[in-house]
Formats: sequence, C-alpha cells, structure tokens
Amino acid sequence: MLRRYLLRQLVAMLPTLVGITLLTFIISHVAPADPVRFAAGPHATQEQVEQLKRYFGVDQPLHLQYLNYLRGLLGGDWGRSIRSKQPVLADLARYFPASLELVGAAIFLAVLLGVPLGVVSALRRNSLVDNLARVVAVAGVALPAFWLGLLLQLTLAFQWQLFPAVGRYSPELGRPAAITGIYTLDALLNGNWTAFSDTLRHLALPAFTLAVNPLATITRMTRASMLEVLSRDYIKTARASGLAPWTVITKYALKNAMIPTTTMIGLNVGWLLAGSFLVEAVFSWPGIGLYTVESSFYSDFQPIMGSTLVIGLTFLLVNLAVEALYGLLDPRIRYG
Amino acid sequence: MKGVFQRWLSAAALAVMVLLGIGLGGASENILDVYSLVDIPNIDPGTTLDGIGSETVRNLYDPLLREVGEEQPIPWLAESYEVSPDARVWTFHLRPGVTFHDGSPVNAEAVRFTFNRFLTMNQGGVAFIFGPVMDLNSVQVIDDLTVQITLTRPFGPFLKAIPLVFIVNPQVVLAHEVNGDLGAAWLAQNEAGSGPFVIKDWQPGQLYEFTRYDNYWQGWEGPHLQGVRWRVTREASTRLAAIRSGQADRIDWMTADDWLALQGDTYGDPQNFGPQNNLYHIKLNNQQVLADGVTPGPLQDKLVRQAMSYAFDYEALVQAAAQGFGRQPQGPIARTMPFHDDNLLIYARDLERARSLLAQAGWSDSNGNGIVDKDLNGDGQPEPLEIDFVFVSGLDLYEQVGLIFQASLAEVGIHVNVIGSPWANIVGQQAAGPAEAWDSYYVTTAPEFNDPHAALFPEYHSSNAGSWVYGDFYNNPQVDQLLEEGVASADEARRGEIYQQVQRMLVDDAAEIFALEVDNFAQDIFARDVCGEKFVPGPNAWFWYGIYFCSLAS
Repeated sequence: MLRRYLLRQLVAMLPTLVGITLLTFIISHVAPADPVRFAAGPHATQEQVEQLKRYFGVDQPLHLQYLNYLRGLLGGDWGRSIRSKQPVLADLARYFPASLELVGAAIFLAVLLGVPLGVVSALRRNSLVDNLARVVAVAGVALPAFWLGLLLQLTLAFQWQLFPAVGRYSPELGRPAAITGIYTLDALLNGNWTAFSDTLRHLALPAFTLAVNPLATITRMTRASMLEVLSRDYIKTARASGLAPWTVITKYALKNAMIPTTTMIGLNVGWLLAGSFLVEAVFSWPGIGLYTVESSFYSDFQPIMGSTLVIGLTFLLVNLAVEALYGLLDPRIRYG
Repeated sequence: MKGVFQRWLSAAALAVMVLLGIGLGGASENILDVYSLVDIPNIDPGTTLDGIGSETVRNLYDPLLREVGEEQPIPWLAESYEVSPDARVWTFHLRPGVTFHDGSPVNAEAVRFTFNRFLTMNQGGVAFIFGPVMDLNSVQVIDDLTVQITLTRPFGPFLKAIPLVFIVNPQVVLAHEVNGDLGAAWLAQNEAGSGPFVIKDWQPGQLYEFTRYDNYWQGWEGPHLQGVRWRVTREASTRLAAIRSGQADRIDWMTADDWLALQGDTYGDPQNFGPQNNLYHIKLNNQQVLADGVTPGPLQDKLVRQAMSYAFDYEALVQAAAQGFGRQPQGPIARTMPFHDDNLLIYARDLERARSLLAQAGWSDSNGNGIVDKDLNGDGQPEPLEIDFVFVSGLDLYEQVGLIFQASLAEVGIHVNVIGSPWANIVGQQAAGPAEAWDSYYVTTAPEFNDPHAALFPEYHSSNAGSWVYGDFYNNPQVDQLLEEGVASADEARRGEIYQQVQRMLVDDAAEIFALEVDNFAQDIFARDVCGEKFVPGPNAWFWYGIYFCSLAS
C-alpha cells in the first residue's frame, strides 16, 4: 500500500519539477540582464560578445534554449556557469553536500533540543522551565539568524577562540578525503577522528545559529500537541491502568503528538536549504543558498535554475518522507 | 523521567566537552591568511583580467616582462628584448633554465602557444587587448629561447600590456583539453604556470591554498612567504573581526570607516597606502532621448552637463566614500597615469556658474516649483529637467553617491530620481543602446594596465557601444580618431600630445562627472606584521613573492 502510494507520489512530482524549471527559466530570462556581456568584460566588441553567446548557446530563441536545457537535464548536462565556466552539476555536487550537512545538523540540533523542551513545557505547564522555553521560542523566532551568528562568532570564535570562526575545516589539519562531500560523515567513514572533531567544531556555530529558529517552532509545536494529546481519554486510561509515567509519555502521548512536529520538521528542511544564505555568508559556509544568491547577482541563469531544481527536489522528497513517517507514528493512517 | 533528562543532559555536556576539548589548529607559520570578500571564479590567464583572478594568475604564472611600478616593466621570463624602428617587430630573448611547475622548460614554443591559445579562444581578457593587432602568424619561434612577435600594426601600449600575458605550459594545457576547448574549463580552476606559487588546494567558494614552488628561478633567498591562504569571507564584520583578532593578515573591500577604525593598530607598511589608477565616474548618457524615443534629452546639451559638473558636491563624496582619503579627479584619467595633463580644468563646485550655464542653455523655472524646465519637443509644454540615476542595489555607497548627486543638483533646480537595480540588469540595459540605457549611473573603472589607452579607449571611443564602461555614449569623431592614432603610434612624445588633447576635449565637453579618485585603502588592509611589496597602481594587484612577515625577516 505504502509503496504504491510513494510511487504514485514520485510520478506526481514530475510535473512539479518541470513547472519549477519553466518558472525559473522564465524569471531568469525576463530581467533585462546580459550575463554574457558582463562575462566578456568591458573590452569585448559586439562581435566577440556574439561569439561568446554562441559558445554558451544563448543566441538561440528562448523556446529552443528551454528545450535544449530540458534535454541536457535528462542527459546529465545541466549547463555551464557563464561566470566560472564550470559545469553546473559539478558546482552543485560541491555546494549541495555542504548545505545538506549544515541543514541536517541544524535540524538535528533543533529536534534534539526542541522536542524534549516542548515535552517538559507541556508536562510542567507554566513552570519556570515552560516560561523559559517560551522566552527561547519567542527569541528564536524574532532574532535574525545572521545577527545571532555574528554575535556568536565575535564572542565564541574571535574573542574566546573556542570555535573556528569561518569555513568547514582547518587547512592546517587538511580536509577529509571526499566520499560524500559531507565532511563530518567523510571523516567518520575514513575513521579520521582528528578531522571528525575538526569538522564538527567548524559545524557547531553555523548549525546552532541556523537551528535556533526551527528549535523555537518545534518547541512550541511539540508543547501544543502534547497538551492536546495529554488531555485525551486514552492517556487518562493508560495512567489509570498503572503504566509507568515514562511509558505513557513516550509511547502513547509523544508518538501521537509528533505528527504536526514532523510536518514542521519537513517544511523546515526546505526553508533552511534555500534560506540559509545569510548564515552561510557569516560563517563562509559554501552552501547552495549562497551559490544561488551570488549567481543571481550576475544573472548567471544556469546555476540559478540548477540549484532551484535541486532545492525543489529535496523539498519534495523530504515531504514525501514525512508523509511516509506518518504511518509509522500512527498506524491508523492509511495510504490510498 | 528525571533520570532520563539527566542522562540526556550529560550526553549534551559530553558532546560540548568533546567539541571544545580539541585545541585550535597549529599556528599558521609564515603563511599569509587573506580573508577576502571575493571568490576566485576563473584563473585562466587566457580569459580573465578581473581583479582577483588576475592577482592569482600573477602569482602562479610568469610574464615575459613584469610590471613593478617602474617607468617600464622589467625583464622577467625574457631577460632582454629588441624592437624594430617601426615598433612592429618585438624580439624577446628568454632566460635559460626556467622551468614550469612540472619541471619542463619555459621556451619559445610555450610563448607561441600562449599567444595563439588566447587569440584562438577569443573569449575576453588579453584576447581583447591583443586581438586587434595580432593574428595566428604573429608569433614566430626563432630558436628555443628566442621568440619574435610581429604586430599587424604598431601598438603604442604594447610594452605596458605585455605583462598581462602569462605564459602557460602547453603540455599540461593540452593534456586537459576537452572537446577542443584548449583546456579552458580545466584551466579556470587549475594552473599550468612557472610562477613562484603553486596551488595546494582549491575549494571554490571557501578556501584556496597556495604554497611555494621550490624550484622558482628567482630562488627563495631572503624573507618570503611559505604560502598563502585565501578564505572567501563575505561578511565585512567577520573580516574586520578576523584582522583585529590576528587571524587574518589581510582583508579587503572595507569602507573608509573601517579603515579609520583600524588605522594605527593594524596597517603594515605605509608605502602600501597611496594613490591608484581607479577612477569613479558618474556616467551621463550623452545620447539621451526622451520617452518618445526621438526628442533629444537634456543630457545631450553640453551646457547642461557642464552645469551638472559645476553643481556636483565633490567634497561631500570624498568625505562619504573615502573619509577624506581621496580627491576630485583632474579629468578622465587618474593623476598616477602616464600622460596625465596636470593643467586640466577642474570643475570646482560653483553653483552660480551652474545656474548661469543652465540659463544660457534656455532652462528656467517657469512654474516656480523649484525645478528648471524648457520646452524640448516643441509642444508648448515645458519639460522639467529631471533625470534618473541608477545605483547597484545592495551597495550602500553607490546609493549614497546617488543621494549626494540628487542633493547637489537640486540646488540648481535639477531633479534626480535615485533608483536601485541589480548590476547585471544595468549592464544589460547599457548593452541595449542609448535609448534604453539609464540617464546616469555610478561606476568604478580600473584600467588593466598603466597606459591611458586602457582607460580612455573603452570608455570614450564610439566603437564600444554596448559596454558598461562606455556609459556616456560619448560620440565624437575627432576623439575617436585621436584615440585610434594614440594606440597605433609608438612615438611616446606624439602619444603624450594625443592623450592630453583627448583629456582636454573630454573635460571641455563634460562628457560625464569625473567624480572621485580614492587612495588604495579600501581594497586591501594588511596586518601590522606584513612587510615588503609596494603597492603598484598599474596592475592593482599584489605579487606575493615580495611580501613577508616583518617579524620573521630578522
């Protein structure tokens, strides 16, 4: 049942993905920008600009350019950056794992801290912990992430030198041999503990900065749904039957309360992937958000389209995974 | 319950301890840590001339002659050269015993390959400088260490431009050729040079590491760096904190305020701080037309442009953009350029003069609304003197320039609309021609080599229509002719006369507002312990071979 549902959903993604390519293509081509002229430099004659346009295939009519682009996508040729002349796919293979690592760590931290905080807040309603959690949540939503990042960087990295300020690894120690491009994971796979702790230390500040906002929403969401579930009859029955409080909370209450939180987590992955560029800028984290934003400064449209497609695809896949998780959390949910 | 949270808390505490327990990496001995705003997208010496790409190229490769700020470039890979009396045939004698990084010799064939590669690709950079005066037969190998370049016509700035040609290793380049691209994709992120440094690691968007080439022909006697680390650091406050904490040895793209804040406690060698060839312009569309697409706009009138030049508040710009570390330019090229005319008229601010020029051009405030007007299209309805100024959105300084422009011109009854737009869009609209282009915008130009041809030709010769530095759409056949003669002449005295005449004509025409000359502070700030290398206005880039840590020199 689930497998058929997932397959159907995967097929249904295709029109969405084609829609994304079409939309980004149109948006990046309606601006009166001329990236080739820019890349050619101020000395280029009109003739030389035309020659470069032919080289990048942007001299053709728009519909042909779009069809060529789609054909390339299927054949593994996602175009070239006009600015760096590198294949977009190679660039994405470099920047996307960095983003995945950062966003993954941020979500991990947010769940690790947010869910227990939400549960405790719900159990000890209006207690000191609950009020503190509320303050953290409001602050987490209200504080601009890049500002918090700068503050953490100034104090923890530059002032007290507890963490590295920028980058993904210390050049003195070298970076782990590339396997996945996710450095912490690569270090683990290589069994290189020095590199693991080094890359983890580089990840700490940006991941925490990025985690604060989802942490806030996850805490509040968990608290609200826990409160709702805890007032249900079956919880009272479970308690009355003499089940251990820990079992009631984790097995009966939390599991049911996790459905809205899981949805929230899924949505956050997508938002963070695209929206983390300010944090990436502060910590010099070479992620896909910054890559996309910079490409857009130069109207370098192939990278813009490529990264939008990857972010869109990840968003769809994560949300599909979230839907699949619903069934695990609540066996009553049927896929049809 | 309690026990579980205790366990959870202690796990978290343990994780933090593990994170903090490992000390920071070892101190970076004799390695220059650069925290730079700028990424390095392309280091192919055949296609790049942009600032950072060319700084990297300058250190990975060697040219035949190198620009070091002397009157003429000094012998480098070529130990001597001769030139024919008509300045068309240049013979270079290469230094023996110089090797590329793979150990193969730098020879005449490599020089021939280098020129023919960029001429064939014709994709920007040096190709656009040498393309008009060379063809694929221009470079002849005489013997292993002698190469002869025959130009299709004399090229006045040849000697000044030759340091931009960096010699590549043909074997390495051809080994990485894909689909006949002459190694372009590979060389954009790899090197095939003979320069003092080699690439140690290349991580686009984050970190570039360079280390010494041990067999560099000049040797490593005396104080030199072991290597350079280039960290891409987008956030200005991070760069500032990095140099303050001692983690960075050089930062760039800072504001005058930042420089003032750091002055005295970081900046190294004071001789690095000085004038440069960059010039800041407010381009005025000399072929402006009104919205109907036919009626000549007010900017077509020389008197209006002169009035604007007199009305502009240069001192406010010097303060806003450079905290006083700059000055109003004297004409269209920087004072540091050869052949600069030191007697040129400077449009010192004079509001009365500006008003009288406007009146002379037929502009008056007929309806008393504070904006001067004039009937331009003959419909009996006067048009107000109103122009658009576009700045690169996101660049606060450029917006500030717009506001100063707006405030200065308002005092003589000219209204300026200040509008932000992405840079790529501004470039695109300039390319679409004078009717589509913006009325005015602010742009910085950095001539690629230390000769007025590099500054004046792209900006004021009418063949450059479409380029964003030709933002004035200045079209003067006499200036066109002089610029053509200047570049084709090898007679220095005659070139001097020509370029000074062009400067006078551009100033008299008030082709644009020559807005600002800034000292080299915002580009690069070095830590106090950095010594050596003097800033050279010509290339506007550093040669790392000459830089060292003062404390390690003794």
